[in-house]
Amino acid sequence: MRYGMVLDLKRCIGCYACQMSCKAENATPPDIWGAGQGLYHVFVFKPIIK
Amino acid sequence: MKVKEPKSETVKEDVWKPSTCLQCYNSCGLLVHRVNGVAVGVEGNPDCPQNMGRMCAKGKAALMTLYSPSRVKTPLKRTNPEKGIGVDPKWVEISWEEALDTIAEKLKKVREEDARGLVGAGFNRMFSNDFQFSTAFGSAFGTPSIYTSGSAGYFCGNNIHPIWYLVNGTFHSEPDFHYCNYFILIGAQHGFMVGEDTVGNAQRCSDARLRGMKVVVVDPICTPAAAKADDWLPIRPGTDAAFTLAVINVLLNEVEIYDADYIKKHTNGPYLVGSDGHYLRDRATKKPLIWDAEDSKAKTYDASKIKDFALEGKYKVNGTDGTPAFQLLKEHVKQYTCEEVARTTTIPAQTIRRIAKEFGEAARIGSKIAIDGKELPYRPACVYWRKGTNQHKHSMLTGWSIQLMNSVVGAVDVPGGMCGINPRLLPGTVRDFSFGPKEGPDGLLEAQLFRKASIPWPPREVKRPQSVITLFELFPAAPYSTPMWDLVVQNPEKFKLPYKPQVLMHSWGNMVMTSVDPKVAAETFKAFPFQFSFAFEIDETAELADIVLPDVHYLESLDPALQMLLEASGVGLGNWTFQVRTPAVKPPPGVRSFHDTLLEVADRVGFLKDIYHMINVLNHLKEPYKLDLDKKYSWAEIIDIWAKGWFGPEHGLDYFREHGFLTFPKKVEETYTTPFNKPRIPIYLEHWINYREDVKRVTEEMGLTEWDVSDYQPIPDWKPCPAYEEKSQDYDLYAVTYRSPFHDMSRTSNNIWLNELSEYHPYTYYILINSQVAKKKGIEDRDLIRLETKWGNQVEGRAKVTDCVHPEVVGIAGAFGGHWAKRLRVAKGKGVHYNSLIPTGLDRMDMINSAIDCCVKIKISKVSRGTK
Repeated sequence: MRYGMVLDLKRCIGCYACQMSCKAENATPPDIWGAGQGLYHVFVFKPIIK
Repeated sequence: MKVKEPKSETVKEDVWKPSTCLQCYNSCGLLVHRVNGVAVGVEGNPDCPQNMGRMCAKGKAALMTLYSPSRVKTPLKRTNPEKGIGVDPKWVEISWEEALDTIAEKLKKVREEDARGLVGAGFNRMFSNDFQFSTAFGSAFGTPSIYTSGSAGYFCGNNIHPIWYLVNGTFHSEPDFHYCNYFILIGAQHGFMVGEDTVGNAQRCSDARLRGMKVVVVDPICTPAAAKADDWLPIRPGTDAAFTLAVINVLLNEVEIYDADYIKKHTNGPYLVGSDGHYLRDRATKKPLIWDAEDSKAKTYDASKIKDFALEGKYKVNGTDGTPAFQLLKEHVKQYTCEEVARTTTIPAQTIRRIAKEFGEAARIGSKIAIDGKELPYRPACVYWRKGTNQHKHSMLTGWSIQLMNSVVGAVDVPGGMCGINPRLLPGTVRDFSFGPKEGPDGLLEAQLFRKASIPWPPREVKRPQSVITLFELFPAAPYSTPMWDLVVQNPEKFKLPYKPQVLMHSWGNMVMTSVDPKVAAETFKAFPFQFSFAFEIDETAELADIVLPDVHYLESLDPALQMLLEASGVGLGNWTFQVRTPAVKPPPGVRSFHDTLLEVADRVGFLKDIYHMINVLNHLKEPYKLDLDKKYSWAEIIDIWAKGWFGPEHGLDYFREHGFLTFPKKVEETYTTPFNKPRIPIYLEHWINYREDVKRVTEEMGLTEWDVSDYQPIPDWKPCPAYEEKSQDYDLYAVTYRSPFHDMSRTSNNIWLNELSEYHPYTYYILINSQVAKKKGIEDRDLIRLETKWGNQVEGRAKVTDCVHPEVVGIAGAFGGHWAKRLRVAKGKGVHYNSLIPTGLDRMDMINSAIDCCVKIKISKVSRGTK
């Protein structure tokens, strides 16, 4: 079984509700988040002041 | 309620039942899918304005808490007289009869001796949802300390609520995402699934960003909000006030962008101030004076024919020099040059200048907007602050500095700016109820809310503490002084507490983990001879109880979320929303609700009638929907009468069981108050000069000579917090906490799905350390490291080497890591407990709002290599 989800990333606020909804809706087994690929939100790296 | 035809013989019931979320206190509308009496799914109720059908990760994981194997389902009694962290209470199961008898007997004794000896502490149960019930219970019993102690407010609201009462006339305030175009967050993640109105604001903030709202996040950590922002300004912890005062300096003295018209007509900026810091007052009326620049004459602020309020200059009135308060502010901020502040904050001078200019220009001073046929000032720029700025010594001055940024550009209670939540209710919207800001002393705004609150204006009398256990009388500018309770309970003689803390009634809030160093916090709980806890799972705080009473889960609960929503549903036009949480499923046998239990306790102790009376009074209940003191009611009957009294006979409990909530459209006048007769707000805190003297006098009389009153100053300064002044080479990094969008305090960590998400997440259970610093110290990803303060507090955890944190800082998420309670099988041992690093004491508190400084310098050492 493969799952998919359509997201507008311009609206993303990094809250992880999408992942939890997938989990809750599909009752996936432990450690499966999204399609086995990981749907997790990636922190955007920004340069740090030195 | 949607009811489907049963699909088969085995499916006897298949319904969607409205309810209300309580994973955090924000009360999102829910639809719970119930099959054969079992909840199998939870969705956001698309009709509920509170969350518009949306949910967060916490709410979506509800069922894993509801059906948690760690749930307590029978009353328990401690058999081990020794209490402490890690000490097994040796619980034995007891009957409800025995539990209630024991509690009633203890309470009777306290009530006979001195009722103030009963203290209530907790969060969601006691405070948020059923405020009036808890207050009724406390008043009827005779204790003032029912929600003020160690509950809400430990790390909440310290420097925000007092300021918002003064400025917006509300308990809570928010950016107006409907119109805001330029949004600065300082130590906060509002709009990014954190904070009040979590879900509603996430939607509104998301919409605003899509239409082009710019977001600037000032934070030592690249939080989820910072990661999504247009600008992340990593700042040295505890220097936020320096940053904002420099921004104000640029606005007032360099680019000269400020809303003079607003300051003249809507603030005390034109009030003349003498050399002693007090207003110059009219001899006859005692009203503060202003200078009419056109008539060259002093007049009272409310005189009928004022042609032009002078904001600058120096004027002689009856032989005394007077300067407009605005002029004093303008001069005062000149010392905060961008270059100097850059050294303090590590934010480059040109960045501070750029942000100031962008913020000022985005405010579009002078512009107007028409909403619902009414022309209103339009100030689409806002700066917002929360916990990151709150948890420092001198945090009140920081909060006030930040608010002044909004005030000088006029972005207060107008579209696009910083607005109070539900500041005004006009008669006719909800029955004949009404409230709203009114003119108080000196022409300044006096908050007037539906529920009774300790507002900081008009000035309060400072006197020897007699009532609340947190010495509230010594904090005249604060709405509560919760964090004082550890110090007072542990040293009642030192603080001259006129009664003895005897019984602690605790519900849900896990203060041993969510306050300060657990070793200190646990001593506070142990100081009570008897503690009973309403608990869902036995967490670290319930583990210190003498008796545990199993409470219902929120999906099994009946309670009103009414009061909360008068104060915390989204800013801007929309709806008043009133919710009653009704059970979606039945509780397991042996579990009873908090409310039914307390009513039973009150009956046994003998003050049930007093509770009925207080419920009538606090909720303005009138015949025929009023509790009859000679009858006996169930909790459900009380809710029914209450709801009918408020919303009419057709909107009783049955209505809420069917629909979950009730809404009424808001009016423009209720939403944006500045253009509609809102009184002036202070930019100069004249009355704090008196507070400084009064608090000093009373604390000296009490022998509390170390009580620092120097922060009571009418114009704010940046002052270094203790960590900033720690210059030791060994303790070279600041430890800072930040919030996760999928945890709420410490109570979501035992949820198996949220734990799984946290384990999967690259940051949540780790200690964030900057990559350059890690390299210097020889620390690699996943190494086990130890953080240690100079007081010996320490925590261990795995390192996450990242660029998402200021080089002088290590970051730990929330207060939900590092659980040790035996029965929290999922949460135990996961993540890192930040608060274990936090000492307490008068020298580490903001002495205006009682915030405990929550940033410490630490020494870092490697314990062992990590495994990849």
